[in-house]
Amino acid sequence: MAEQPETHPDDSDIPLMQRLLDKPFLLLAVSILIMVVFYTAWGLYEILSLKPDPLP
Amino acid sequence: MTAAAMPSAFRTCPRTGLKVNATAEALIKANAVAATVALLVGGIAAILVLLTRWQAVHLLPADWFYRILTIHGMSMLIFFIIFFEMAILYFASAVILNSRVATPRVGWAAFWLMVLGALMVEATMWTGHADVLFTSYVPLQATSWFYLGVILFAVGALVVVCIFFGTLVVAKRERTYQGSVPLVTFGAIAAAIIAVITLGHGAAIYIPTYLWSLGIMKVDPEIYRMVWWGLGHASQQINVAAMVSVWYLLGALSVGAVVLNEKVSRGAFALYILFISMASAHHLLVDPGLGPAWKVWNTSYFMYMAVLASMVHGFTVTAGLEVGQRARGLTKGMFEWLRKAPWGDPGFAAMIFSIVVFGFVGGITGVTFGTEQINIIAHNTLRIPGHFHATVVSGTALAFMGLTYYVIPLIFRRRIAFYPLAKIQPWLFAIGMLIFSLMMTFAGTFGVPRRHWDITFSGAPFDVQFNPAVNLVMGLMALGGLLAAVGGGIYILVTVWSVFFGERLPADAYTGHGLPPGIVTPPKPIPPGEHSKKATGTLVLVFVFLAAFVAYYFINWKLLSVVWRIG
Amino acid sequence: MHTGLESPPRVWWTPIHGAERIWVSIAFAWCLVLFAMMPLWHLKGEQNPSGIRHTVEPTRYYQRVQEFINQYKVGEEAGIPIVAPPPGSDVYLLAQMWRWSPILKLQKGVQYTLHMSSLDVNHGFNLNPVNINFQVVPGYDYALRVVPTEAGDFRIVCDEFCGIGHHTMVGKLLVVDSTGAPIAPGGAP
Repeated sequence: MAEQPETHPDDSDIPLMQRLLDKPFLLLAVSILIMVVFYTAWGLYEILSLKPDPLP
Repeated sequence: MTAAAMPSAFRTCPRTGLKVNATAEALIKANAVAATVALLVGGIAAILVLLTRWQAVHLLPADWFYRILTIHGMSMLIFFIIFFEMAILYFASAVILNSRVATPRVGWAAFWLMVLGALMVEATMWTGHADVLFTSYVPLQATSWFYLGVILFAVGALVVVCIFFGTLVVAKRERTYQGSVPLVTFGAIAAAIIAVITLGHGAAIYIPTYLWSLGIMKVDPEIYRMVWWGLGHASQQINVAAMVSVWYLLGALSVGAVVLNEKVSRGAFALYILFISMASAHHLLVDPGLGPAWKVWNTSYFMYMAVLASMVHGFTVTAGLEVGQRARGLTKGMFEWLRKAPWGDPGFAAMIFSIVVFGFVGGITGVTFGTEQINIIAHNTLRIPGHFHATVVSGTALAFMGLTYYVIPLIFRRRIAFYPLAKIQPWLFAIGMLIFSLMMTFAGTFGVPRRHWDITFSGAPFDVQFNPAVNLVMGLMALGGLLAAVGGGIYILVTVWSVFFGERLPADAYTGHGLPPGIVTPPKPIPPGEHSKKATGTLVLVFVFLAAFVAYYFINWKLLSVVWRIG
Repeated sequence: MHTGLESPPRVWWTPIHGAERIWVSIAFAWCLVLFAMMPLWHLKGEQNPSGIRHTVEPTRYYQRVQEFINQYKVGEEAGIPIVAPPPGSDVYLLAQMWRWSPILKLQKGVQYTLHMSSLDVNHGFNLNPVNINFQVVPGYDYALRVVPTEAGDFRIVCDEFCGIGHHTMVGKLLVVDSTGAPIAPGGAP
């Protein structure tokens, strides 16, 4: 691919999605959030909200 | 301290032009060697377990079977694979980015902490104080030293993951590279992020379990299972991300495979990052503690977006090979690019087999019985290890083996010893593991249980008759496994010999014997100008894959529909 | 064109074309099919692991199982009681190191609420040769509404490692059809 001329002192022309994917710590944070919310916290909630068995 | 050991010392790689930091190199070597030692222990355990489940041989007595099975699981799934991944993290950060390691001394401390943890765990297992299997489900209890060893290993690994991120920061700040990191490094970032989730869950479960083993607190068995699998399955997803990263790396080194579209490949890694760990829920689909909504949502990795990612990588890696080969003149027919690829390059062959077996056998079976309801006819049968020997062994481990054939010359700077053996090693291992995984899956479809010493059930109050095909299938499984063990043994022989006794390479030119083609005759540069992105061969292959997927998937719904009604 | 080892172009978030676009679209559609199948099966399918789920004290569950056995016992085999509970009722299965009890004698085509729990460690319920599998966890009662669709002399194989006797842990489950076949050993109808 041809070299882009170095006339962009800022990165404003770089698409937002590219800039987001270039941020490993942001990705890390979102990843942890999604896992903890959907899997761990919800899972814990499911288990802890089970009621005791109404055995006759 | 010699010049070579100074953290700031660099050399330039004659093959890639990368500036290789001396400490990074030393850390890669140390972790790779530790991984290989663990592989040897796990491999010996594999042969012993295999020769026991093959009822005609039934080698080990019951207590040693369960013990060696524990050793096999821990040595392979934790120690071998994680040590190897530590090496990959150092490579993907410091080496690919021409950078120094962020905190080299901490890197060494972490390495030795991991070694200590591993030795502690191995010692407790071999002396019979941890007969709890890889999952160590509470209330089965091992000695406290077992849990402590795992914790120390995990802490060391987490430190290395932090050093990886730190090195990314250092490299960016010191401008050792331009623009975005290369794709292989981005894949390693995906692996590292998943590793944080994995190790976080590991700490969350092993610290309380350690305290429980000391009598200090209680641990609920169902909570244990849920949190543990946040470590147990998520660690396999580190392996997936690392494996795909290695596919791109081996493609680049062996045939100069191109990246068709960075957005697509990175987008797929991003889907892994966000959603793949949720499917730890696979293991809890027929558990009493969780409800259907949680099970369906999590097992689907967020509406199968992480499966989309795998299907995308299966295409982009293969299409990258095809487009790169076509651009270099291999344009005849639909598959000349594949027929005339360097099948004699053990790195290339390993990569292809890894893609095919991981996708066709591992991926399809896993997604199918990771379906909430289909899991009813699969849970705890041999279908489960049949699946994961196709993913983590024929997929990840095989890819790592292929990579080793480049690491030996490029990092250890030795010629590969017994090179003719090295060339056939991936073939033996792949074919062996393919047979092993398929046969194991068939046996599981007949209901043969996993983790079971004796399916003749001698000593049980009632007889159990499996379908007569089971004996044949288990025998074939054993033969496949033995073939794979030969492949594994050759791998260890070749790597250990090369690393310690192999002929050293001169610093500036890599020519001559004992080197894969991708090093001796690097892929020709692609002529400048526009090139077609035609990938019809790959399209055909992925449609064959999709057809197999659809067929296997709906066959399983049919198999489920004829069992008892359950709700 | 560059490899995965090399730096990408400065701007790489660019449109997708050709074969890639086709494949991503088709794979995405397939993923939605995969996802839709699960809720669909909950609505239309007859095998779901939903169950009625509670926590339970192992000793309390054990007590309940003993009461159940005393109420419906019709025989014994290999030291394990055989029970014939009424159709449509709650039936109880206990897993412990290393036996399944009681031997349930059920009727074909009838729904039962099958409760499962463990006295001690994790066990695995595998109904052989049907190949239905569930996790049996101490402290939890997993009650599944089941309808045996065939008569037969079934086995319950433990498929979760539960200690040194794990491979001897085999139970029995009988399903009789309207003629009373199959007959359990010992001649009990």
